[in-house]
Amino acid sequence: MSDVLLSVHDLGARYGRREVFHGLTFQVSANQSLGVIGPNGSGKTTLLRVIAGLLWPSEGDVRVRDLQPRRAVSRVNVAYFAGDFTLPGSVRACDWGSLATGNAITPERRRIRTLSRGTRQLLGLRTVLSRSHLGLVVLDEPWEALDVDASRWLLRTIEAKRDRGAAVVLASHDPQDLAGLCDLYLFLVNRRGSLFKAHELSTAGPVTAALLADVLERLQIDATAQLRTSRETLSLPA
Amino acid sequence: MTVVYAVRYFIVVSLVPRLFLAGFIVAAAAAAVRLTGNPTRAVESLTPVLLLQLFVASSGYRLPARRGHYDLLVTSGAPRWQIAVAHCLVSVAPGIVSWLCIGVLELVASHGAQTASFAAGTFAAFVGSSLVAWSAAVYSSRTAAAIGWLLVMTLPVAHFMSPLRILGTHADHSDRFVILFVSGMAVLAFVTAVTSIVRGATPLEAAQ
Repeated sequence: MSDVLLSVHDLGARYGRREVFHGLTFQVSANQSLGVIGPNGSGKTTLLRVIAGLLWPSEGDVRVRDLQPRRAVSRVNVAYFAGDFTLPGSVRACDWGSLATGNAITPERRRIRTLSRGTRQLLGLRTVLSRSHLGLVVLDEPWEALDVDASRWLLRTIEAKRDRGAAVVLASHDPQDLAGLCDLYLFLVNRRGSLFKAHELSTAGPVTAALLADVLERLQIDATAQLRTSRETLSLPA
Repeated sequence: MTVVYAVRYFIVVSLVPRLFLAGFIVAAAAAAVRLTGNPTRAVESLTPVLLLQLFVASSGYRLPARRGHYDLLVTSGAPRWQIAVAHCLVSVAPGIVSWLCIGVLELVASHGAQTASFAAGTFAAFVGSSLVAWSAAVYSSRTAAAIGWLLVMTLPVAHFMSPLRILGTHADHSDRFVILFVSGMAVLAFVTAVTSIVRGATPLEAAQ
């Protein structure tokens, strides 16, 4: 039985008169992961903040366990992280790390602004992902600035959270980050979204970075294309 | 998640810089010296604390929120009104604590004979100014708020409606109107600010 955790219907967002995107419709179940791919400025961060309840949509509806995201965060444990630049630089790393659960996740006493970018990113990720019984994981460009070991840790952690019942939403501008990881892929291009299931994109095996990049390129070229939900409409190679 | 968690969060993110805390300590120490010599000089001692409080309580909510500094808290499940109240509490606490310390010093130094620190006017001035300052700065930075306060102080109306004027006055005094005005403004500003935090969106600066 499908256990839909995140439901998005005809969603649109705008900043003042500037429309970011419109008409997004998708669902993410528990134990599923959605990869949001799009070029810079396509609205990935905006979409993730709407899902996390930090922004109001201009149109459409978002439901997390049938609740508005703002109400849902008190019922569903949410891990949301938008990047290392969102961490306050004056705070000590050890203090920040203990904010999510009260337990120390690092003995590092230096202030966040003195840490390297990758260390800050890892601190932010470890902090939000240290929350227990996560129902929804929403990470914006989580692989930014991470080294190989940290990337591996992140991959393992995301898969573990998903396998324990969380719905995972990941955004990246780089198809390499999300290749083979997600069950669903949402391409945000030209203010529209195109949703694909992983097995629709690649019937032969895991979705590769090259395939994702190819789809993204075709969508960017075909600026007038309507919402597409099947690989055939893009004439993808077998 | 409760308001206690939100208070701890805002303490960790250093809502009140240490320089301001040092300022309050210096003001309270100066008050202790002054009141030991003359317990009737409580109002003089409270004036710098109140002025400092105007700037400290103007901590600003929206700017750090738009930088994502409060994302961890806002997505923790803590109700928004509790987040707003906690932000206000942490912002105004240093000034309120300094005021209460000076009040206790006044009581001790005068053996209970002087109570200017706990007069209705002083109460309205401190609580009212703190809430108005915090509320007015919800949509601005501390620097912008400081410039705003400096400009407000130069207005002619500031002389008549200034909270400094009601320090040490009692409710039966001729300044009763000012006390009521400051209190009313404080309640109105606080409710408006909390509502705007509860209902408002938090776009990320980098995403617009």
